Amino acid sequence: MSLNTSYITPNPRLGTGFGIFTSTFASLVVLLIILEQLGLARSLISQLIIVLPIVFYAAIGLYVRTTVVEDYFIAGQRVPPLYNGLALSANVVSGAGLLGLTGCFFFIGYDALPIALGWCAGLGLMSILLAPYLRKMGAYTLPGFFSIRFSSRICRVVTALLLIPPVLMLLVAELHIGRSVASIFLRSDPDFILQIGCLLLAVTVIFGGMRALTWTQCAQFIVVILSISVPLIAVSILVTNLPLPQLSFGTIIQQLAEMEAQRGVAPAFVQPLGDVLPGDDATQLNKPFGVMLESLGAGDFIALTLCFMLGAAVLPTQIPRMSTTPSVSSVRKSIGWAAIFVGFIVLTIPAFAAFTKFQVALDLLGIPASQIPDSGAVLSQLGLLEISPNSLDPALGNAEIAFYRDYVALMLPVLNDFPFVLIGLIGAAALAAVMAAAGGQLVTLANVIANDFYHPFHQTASPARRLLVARLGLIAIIIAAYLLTTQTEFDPLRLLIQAFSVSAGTFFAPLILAIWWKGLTQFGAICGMVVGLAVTALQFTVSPGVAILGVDPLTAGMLGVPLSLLAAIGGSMVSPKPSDETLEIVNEIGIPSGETVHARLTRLAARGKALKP
Amino acid sequence: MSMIDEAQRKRHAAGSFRLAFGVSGVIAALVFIIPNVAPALNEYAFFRFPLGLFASTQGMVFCLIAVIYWASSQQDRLDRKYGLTNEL
Repeated sequence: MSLNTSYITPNPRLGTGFGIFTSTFASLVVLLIILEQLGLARSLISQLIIVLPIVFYAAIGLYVRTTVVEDYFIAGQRVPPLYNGLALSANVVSGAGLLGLTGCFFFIGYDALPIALGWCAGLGLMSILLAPYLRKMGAYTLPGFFSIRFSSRICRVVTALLLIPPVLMLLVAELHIGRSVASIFLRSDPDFILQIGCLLLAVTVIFGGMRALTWTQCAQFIVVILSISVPLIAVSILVTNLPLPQLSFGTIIQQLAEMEAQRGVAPAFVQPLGDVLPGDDATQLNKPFGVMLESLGAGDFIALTLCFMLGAAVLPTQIPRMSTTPSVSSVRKSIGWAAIFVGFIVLTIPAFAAFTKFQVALDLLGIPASQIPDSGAVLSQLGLLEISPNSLDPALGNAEIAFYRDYVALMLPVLNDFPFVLIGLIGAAALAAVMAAAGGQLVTLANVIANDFYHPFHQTASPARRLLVARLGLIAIIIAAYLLTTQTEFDPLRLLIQAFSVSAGTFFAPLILAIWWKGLTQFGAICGMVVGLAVTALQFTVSPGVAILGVDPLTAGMLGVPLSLLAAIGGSMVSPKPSDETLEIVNEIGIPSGETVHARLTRLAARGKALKP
Repeated sequence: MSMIDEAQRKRHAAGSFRLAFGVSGVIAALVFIIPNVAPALNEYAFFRFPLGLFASTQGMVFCLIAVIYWASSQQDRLDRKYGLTNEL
């Protein structure tokens, strides 16, 4: 028995620090608006609003640098629930999710809802099924959890290998979307912008690890919330006279439906998921906003919701964050906060898309190219849409306008003739979301290299050497992700969906069983993960575009989850029963009080009575 | 390990299991039932939204947040009942 109930005290000045950060950011925006009115060049405004916040994040990361192992890998386990919730939200939403989902709502209306619902429901599952038990285990990474659970280094290494594909897919999707958005504002070679972005991202997290990531993610998510709220509230007041866009856009849905019908946006019909989801190329509007389950079938709707729900619950970037709070109870509270923040984003995105589509239908659709207003020309100059004369009747026919899914969020301030700074503000929000999520993915992979590939085989290595390995690993990963981003062509939203699908298919069933079923063995867990990943990845690669048992390849994880479950149970049945020591660990993670299992094993290892976890 | 006898630990584990999977069932039911009945509800209006759309988005988000907080408070209560908490 241990009476170690270390009440770790969070920094009491956190609120002051983030208050100062928020005030500084708001002051920067107001100052730039004043300078714009005084004639400051738009190119300079773009650079300042995009670059200064990123430099600020890097400064926060450098300020909280650390050489303490617990600080570097689990932020010292003293992150208060509110701040842990902000960081969790940043991991779930991500830049690709924020821009991709806004674009999806713009193009296919409420048929984009499964992605948003999946985020919120996934947090619900995580809070009750997984988080308290992961916190009690106290592992630094997901492979670390499995390693302690089964007292197995093999399981650790296998899990670490299987974790790399989904996290790398997410990281590459973020870098891709970050490069696209930054290129709009900085007007330079996209690959050069990406190089600078990768450098700043690495500087932000390399010296402080999870500690730096936590505080920068909080700052970045504050920027996301503020930056998307300000222009949207302004538009809401202008259009509906109400400053609560999340609840006021109902007043324009009926008008929007009538305008869509007049402008030739045809009623939707059910298509496969892959055809319904808009791509990242310029596409004309062809589906109405205020309909649900009209272009997406009920089966695909459920599969996509499940994919994001189960994927968000076991996202490998979220697992280390379960160990950063002071207690089991506070990790549940932190997920409650995360649900509020993600819920806010989920309610804001449809409002953003609705007001944008309303303005587009009002100003741009159904008129000849020669009558397109100035806002259309500005959007075209910025590269946010493509306008071409009607192919049949160039003089009098309606202009053909194609929109880019990932740039839809940037259009709203232009359509309302707002100051250019507010366009930059949306860009800053997108890049903050990208940096927050990409930072999380980078730190997760670097920590896996240090804790799951290096440390188990070099138990006598000093803490400094372990941190050095994590930092070198981080550099290697960012270089690999940069090369993958520049050498390959893909749609970031589809990559995001596939990454959630792979996470769900690979880890959901084994992780649930590892917590809730004592009979799961190391062999069963490995079988479950390998089969889940193999089934999901095979459907992506062997049968792209072909649904198997009614499951679209994008949501292949929904085939992976049940097969992974069967494989994990089957593997456990045919392998030797778990040892008493293993069963004791399962009992222990169910008891929320006391020290973490990781801390207990570390203490025993110091006395030579156990291997270091 | 904490100071708790085996019978109490089993009762706590059983309570946690019932709560976790009961709440997961509620979340699954919310997420799958409401959007599927939404088209039928859309002929009614609420807050000037079609009711089905409002229930599937705003309603669903509010419900999920409420469920998460309720489940968290119930689990905290269960932990306190068995004296298994680190909170001051």
